[in-house]
Amino acid sequence: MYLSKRLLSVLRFCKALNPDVIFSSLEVGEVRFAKIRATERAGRNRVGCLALARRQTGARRLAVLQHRLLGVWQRPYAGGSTMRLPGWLIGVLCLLAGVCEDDGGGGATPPSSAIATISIAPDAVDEGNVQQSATVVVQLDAPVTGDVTVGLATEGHAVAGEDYSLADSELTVAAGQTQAETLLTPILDVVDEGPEQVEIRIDGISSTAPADEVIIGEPSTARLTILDAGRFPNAKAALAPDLLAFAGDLVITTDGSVRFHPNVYNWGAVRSTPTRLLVAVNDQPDWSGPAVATREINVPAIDAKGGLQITEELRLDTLRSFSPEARDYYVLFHVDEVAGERPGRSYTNQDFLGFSLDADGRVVLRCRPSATGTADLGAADPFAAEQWHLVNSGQQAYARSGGTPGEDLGMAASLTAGPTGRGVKLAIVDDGLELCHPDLAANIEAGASYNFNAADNLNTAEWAGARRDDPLQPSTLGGHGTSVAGVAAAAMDNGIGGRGVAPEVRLRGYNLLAAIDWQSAFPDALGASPAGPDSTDVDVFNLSFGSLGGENNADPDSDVSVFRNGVRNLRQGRGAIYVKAAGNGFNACRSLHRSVNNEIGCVAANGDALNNLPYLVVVGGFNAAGRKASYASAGANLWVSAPSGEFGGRDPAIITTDQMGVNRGYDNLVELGLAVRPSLNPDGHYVSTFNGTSASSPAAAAAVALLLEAGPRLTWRDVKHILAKTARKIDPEIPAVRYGFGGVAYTMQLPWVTNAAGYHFHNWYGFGAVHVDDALAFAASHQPDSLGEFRETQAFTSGPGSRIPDHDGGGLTATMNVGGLPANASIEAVTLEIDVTHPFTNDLGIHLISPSGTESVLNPAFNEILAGDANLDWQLLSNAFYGEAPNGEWRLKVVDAAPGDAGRLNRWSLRFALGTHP
Amino acid sequence: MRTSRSKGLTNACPPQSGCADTSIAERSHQGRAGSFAPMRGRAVLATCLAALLPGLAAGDGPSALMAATGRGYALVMPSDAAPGVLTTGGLRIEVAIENGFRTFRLQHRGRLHTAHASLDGPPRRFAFDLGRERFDEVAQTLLLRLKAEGDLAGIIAQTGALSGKSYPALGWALLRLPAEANPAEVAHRLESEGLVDSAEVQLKGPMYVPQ
Repeated sequence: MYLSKRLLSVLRFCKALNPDVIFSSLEVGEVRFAKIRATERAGRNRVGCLALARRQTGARRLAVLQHRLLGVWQRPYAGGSTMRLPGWLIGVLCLLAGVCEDDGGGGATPPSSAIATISIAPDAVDEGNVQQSATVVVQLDAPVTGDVTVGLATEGHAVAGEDYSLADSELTVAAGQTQAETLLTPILDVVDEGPEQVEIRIDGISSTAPADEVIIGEPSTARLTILDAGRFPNAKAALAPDLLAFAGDLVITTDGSVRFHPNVYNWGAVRSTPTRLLVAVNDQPDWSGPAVATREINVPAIDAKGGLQITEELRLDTLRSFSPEARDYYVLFHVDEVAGERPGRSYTNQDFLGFSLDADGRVVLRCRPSATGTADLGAADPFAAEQWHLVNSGQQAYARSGGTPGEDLGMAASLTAGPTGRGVKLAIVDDGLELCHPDLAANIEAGASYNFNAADNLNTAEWAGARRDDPLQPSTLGGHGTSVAGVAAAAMDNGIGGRGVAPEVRLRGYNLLAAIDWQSAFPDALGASPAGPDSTDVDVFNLSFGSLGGENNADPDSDVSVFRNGVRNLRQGRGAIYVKAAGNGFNACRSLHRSVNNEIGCVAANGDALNNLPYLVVVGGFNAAGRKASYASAGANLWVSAPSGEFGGRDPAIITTDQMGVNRGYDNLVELGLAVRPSLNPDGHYVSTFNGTSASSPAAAAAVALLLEAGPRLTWRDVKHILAKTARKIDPEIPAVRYGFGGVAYTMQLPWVTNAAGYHFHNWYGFGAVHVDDALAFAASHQPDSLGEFRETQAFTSGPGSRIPDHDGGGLTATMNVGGLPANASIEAVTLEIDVTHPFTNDLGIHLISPSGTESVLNPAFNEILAGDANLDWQLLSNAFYGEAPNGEWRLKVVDAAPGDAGRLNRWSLRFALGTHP
Repeated sequence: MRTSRSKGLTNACPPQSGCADTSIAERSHQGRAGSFAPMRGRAVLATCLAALLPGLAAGDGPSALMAATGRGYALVMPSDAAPGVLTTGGLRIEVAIENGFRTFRLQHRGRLHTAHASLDGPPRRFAFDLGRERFDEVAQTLLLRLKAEGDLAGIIAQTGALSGKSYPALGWALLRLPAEANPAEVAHRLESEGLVDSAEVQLKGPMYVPQ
């Protein structure tokens, strides 16, 4: 066994800290390997810490295979994407997980032939114990020269994705090693099906070294029995904590200190156990060197759905004493998993932050024009042809496969004929904005952006040296706002980058998400402030963010009043348009995962209180194949959908602007697409793996900007109306989701419905996909401000409630007569307030049926955000009744889908936002 | 005096107003402070007054204070509470110093709630949100409804606030307080001295993250 001196020293350090740390490493010629394998040593659960670090001299890159990375925030990344991590860091991560193993091996040059077999342990798992995974191991009887890729195929009565999930369909046994493994985890469902078998077999094998001979031996198939937990098993017994690490606030002071305020958030349904947070700082962009500094911080037990902010101070002079020549620093925040967390999860416990120093040793806080990437006016945009969200011709967008022609924003005509958003003011309310990015600079409205962490004559600066009008994101590992801005407003025909949806819009950035004083920044960033900043002249606000909280109601003073003011008073009374991302929680089952969640989603869009306000345009996301993006949250509060893509590996994501520089931005974290095509992206200014409803929101916001250029007298309600009228019915054959509960059939998710006013609606898509050309055509003949007076009614309140039948698909139906509203009134939104006493509200599905018979699911049963929660006092919004008449009998249906906990509907009420539609 | 409508989601009476629909303590045992409890008149209940008084500390030292928020009421913990027990309005909070954190524990309706403030770094203050039935961090800002627009400068001076900003279009102003100030104490003082129509403590609420 051979180790680089530096790697050896770090691993010895890890081992000294924890005697249970074991590792193996191997050097073969120019290539050095370190491998850490998950075990059950030290009594820890498997945490999916399978990582293979490979450092190639010359290329100086480390690739971590099969490591699923959530990303800087909640943006999901595909399994199989590569992320740069140094070997020392792998060792430290495994130290924290306590799952590293030393095979004590040697380092002789391996032979070039081997036989591969497969095994699985244990050979039976209990469906009801979702924390128990089986480990699938591919074994070579001898190491070979090259990397051996082994395909896995599954068969049997158990169905992948319904009864179990297999973490990887392909394993790689690194050169010189003899083993690779993955996890098979049961999925708890609601079907009484008895024990089921799954067979996993080796399906193809190859080596990167042509001289290697690797054949499939016996056994080539492994078998696993998934024991049925029985009908409606006690999933609630499997509640678990789920810790997430966030870089949090960054404080930069005049004396040169940099302070981090990382957060550890427990998104699970039960309190976590004490653990630790590791903060590690590196000075190499490819993370190849040892840590410059590390901290280990105690993390106490955290309540469910609770957060803990930790103040940690790392001074710059301390960092520079270790690495005085460094100008760039990269910081990792890693929280160790705790007992009960689900192993092999696709969400990580890590976050990243980086910063750069200028010649004076100060953190760079001002946008500096790039020396390269100068625009060439009049020349074609090199990436525009790959931007499928503009016009989808089936192009791959630097992914491995393309999408379906026609699944896009429907703007083929306007791409050539305009409009372009000229004269319309768009605010990117986000974590920052690179004003001097070469593909954004031409559209930046000078002096209009705002940095909430810079000094003024009243406030203490949180970022000493920052400028008020420059919201540069100091973290160099992903400028979310910069990428969001590019989707909306990248300049066109300048010979660089791509093209925004509104390539001549007037752009500004407000770094609300980075604001250390959120409460003060919130009204300032959203149109309530005439000075410091002046946000009252903004036409369109883009909000590509969402909350991590559970069921929650918007604060009527500090939240609702801000948006209400914006739609009433801005744009000379025509109202600003607030466009918001729906969320990315469809797959975010933290504590409870039933197979039905694969169909109806985990976290619904109603978990973000702002999504439940009638003043916003809430935008879902769809991929290049014309279906809902795998992660995009769903809900009755969606208005429309727009392209957001998948992950850019197999399937296309979104091409947009990235933080300037090759050692900055998302392309420094995810090695896919443009990140591995330096000839196309030599300066690192662009990324092809941007996704999330963070991407669909600015696409829709920019579409709104196009409408406002064409129709400057359109009101905010006109805009919403036009979008709803012209949205394209996407994924038209999506079926209902229907199961039996307590012997009674229950439709958990509706198909596309057409309401009594003729609008089609689906919780995955709202009214459908934004169609820019159709919207512009409709707007041309639409009379502005012709939807009647906007009125918000008082609450119509029910009488006394009643018991909700436990485990009964028929549920409880309560009725309420609404009357006295104008006969010609048209519903623009319905807000339900519901008060329920129930020990486990995750059981409950909540539906509303209008007098016209239109049904809407306002809360799907098994909504993950309610896992572990008791009682409800919640405001929910539905757009499904748009255009219908409000008077008549309304029905509320509450279904308790799971047994064992029973409750009561106490009271409910309805409020209506009304107009008078022609 | 604030009206129930101005509070949006709650019809609870403001502290020191002399009116109550139900007491804070009763509400906390009945369920969440929500939007369905109608104003039932101005009956003053002993338990309501007890809840509004500064809480009793285990010994000398700061107390927990009940304060109005935009969504109801919250019990605001002192940032420098000594280990021991705080009681107020029928709620019992245990304070401990453990592993570098000041820990607050509250047993409420069968559930244990905890909050941890690091002993290092700037002081952080927690409140138990009676509406959402969970701990939340208190922001160093107050939401004020001013008697007159011109009052803000004087309030800034009298409270030693860092700054203030008025939002006439929204009908309220924000007061930024220094880290060592207890927003609940400042709010109580402003209301009791009649300097504002109302003062609400702001809870930080759920974290917002990029999507």
